[in-house]
Amino acid sequence: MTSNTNLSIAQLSSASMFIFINALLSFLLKLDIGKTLLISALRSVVQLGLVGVFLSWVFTLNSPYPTLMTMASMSFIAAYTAASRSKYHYSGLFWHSVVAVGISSWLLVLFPAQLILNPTPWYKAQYLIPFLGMLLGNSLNGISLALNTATQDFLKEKEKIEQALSLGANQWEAARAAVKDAIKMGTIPVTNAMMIAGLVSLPGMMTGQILAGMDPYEAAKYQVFILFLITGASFFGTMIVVYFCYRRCFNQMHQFSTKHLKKNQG
Amino acid sequence: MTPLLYTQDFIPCKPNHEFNFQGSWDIDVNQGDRICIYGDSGSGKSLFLKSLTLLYPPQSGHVYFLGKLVTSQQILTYRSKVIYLQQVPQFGDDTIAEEFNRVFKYKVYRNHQDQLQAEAFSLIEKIGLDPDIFSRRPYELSGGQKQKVHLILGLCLNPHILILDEPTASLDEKSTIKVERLLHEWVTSSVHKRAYIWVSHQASQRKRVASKFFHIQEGRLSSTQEDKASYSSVSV
Repeated sequence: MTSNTNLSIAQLSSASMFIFINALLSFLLKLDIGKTLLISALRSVVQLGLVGVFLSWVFTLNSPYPTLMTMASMSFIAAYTAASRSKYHYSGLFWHSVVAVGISSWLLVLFPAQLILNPTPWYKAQYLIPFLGMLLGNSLNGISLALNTATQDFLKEKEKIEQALSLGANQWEAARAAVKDAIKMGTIPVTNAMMIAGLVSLPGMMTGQILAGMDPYEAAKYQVFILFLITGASFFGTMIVVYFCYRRCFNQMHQFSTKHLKKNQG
Repeated sequence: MTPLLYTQDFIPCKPNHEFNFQGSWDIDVNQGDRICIYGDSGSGKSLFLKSLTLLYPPQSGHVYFLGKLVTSQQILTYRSKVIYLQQVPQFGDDTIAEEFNRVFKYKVYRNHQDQLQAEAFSLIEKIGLDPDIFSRRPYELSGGQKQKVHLILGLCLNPHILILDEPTASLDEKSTIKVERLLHEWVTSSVHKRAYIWVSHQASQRKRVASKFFHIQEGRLSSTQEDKASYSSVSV
């Protein structure tokens, strides 16, 4: 068996065959997803290629500023993506998303990662960037699910929330059910991931390490560590963004309004 | 005697329509008042009442309750004492008892939860419902039963003012009279300071249940005179 550490371009293009087969099937069966499939496959090639080149450059620079700048822009993109996936948006949503994504991911990247993995130097890009990326990805996922649920629930449950207020509830008592629902929705993916970890498939990182020759038991320990951090980030991010979203629907007179919620175009 | 509730320079929350509210929308609610509000659908009745309970921010003006301006400090107490009951009650899928208990656990009621529960039980019989309705779920109830249950919830919270948005809309004639009697008895209590504001589309009901009338039309609130019929003269 040949070593898998370096993949040749020929090997890579053989994998693309399956994308083409599926696209062809889609055209033949008129499923209308062939075009999207090809575009997204192409995007993944271009994006990952550029990221690969860019990261090699940042790694060789090996100094704090380019690393931190890269991390900051990753965070903004994650925040933007999380905010734009929601069916309803409101002014200020992007900044709420920035704070939620930022606090949750940076907190876990800087503390546990620094304390436990102890990379030298502390800004070592090979650790920080992939780590942050993983946390951002999961946090973003949770945040966008939670935002989507929260905004839709607030609109859908308007009458119920108003009724609770009219019976003397404070804003928290009135909105609790919707808030709870949104946080639950946002954190389902990470709790599920822990629940089925290893049963159905090996998580990506563990697979990578095993393929690269690491002992599966050691890889498993790593994976648990990562899962915990991911879950932590996702919970923090979800709770922060739902809290903002909820506060935005009320004023200090405990009046509820969804007038600021606008439907996303497209 | 100072009114239980009065407003100053009050204009309700802006409607979504082209028209806006004009003229004076001020209202006094005194102890024992039985007030009826009527007007076409979409004329702004609910908007007015939700603004009065400060569920919606009024465009201008102030609300005074028991002689004091209602600010963010008293808003929750105010809403627990001036209760607005929506025409179509919103329930989840919990049992009626759980629905009630959730409300009884609100901070404003926290210290008298047991008392409220007892009150709910005694009222449910008064209104002619079987007490085991508490163990049933809202989707098992008829529209009329839900409306009665909602009314009981509002009553047992012991407010000073009840604002009833067509409380008998889904009830049959017999139940309607029963509810009217119950509320009449409730409002004329000599021990408590009580009043109600009742939205009704039926002229005959208005005569039975109210002593003061307000008409909402073309963005204006006007006090009107309707023939007053004493409640006892109503025959079922």
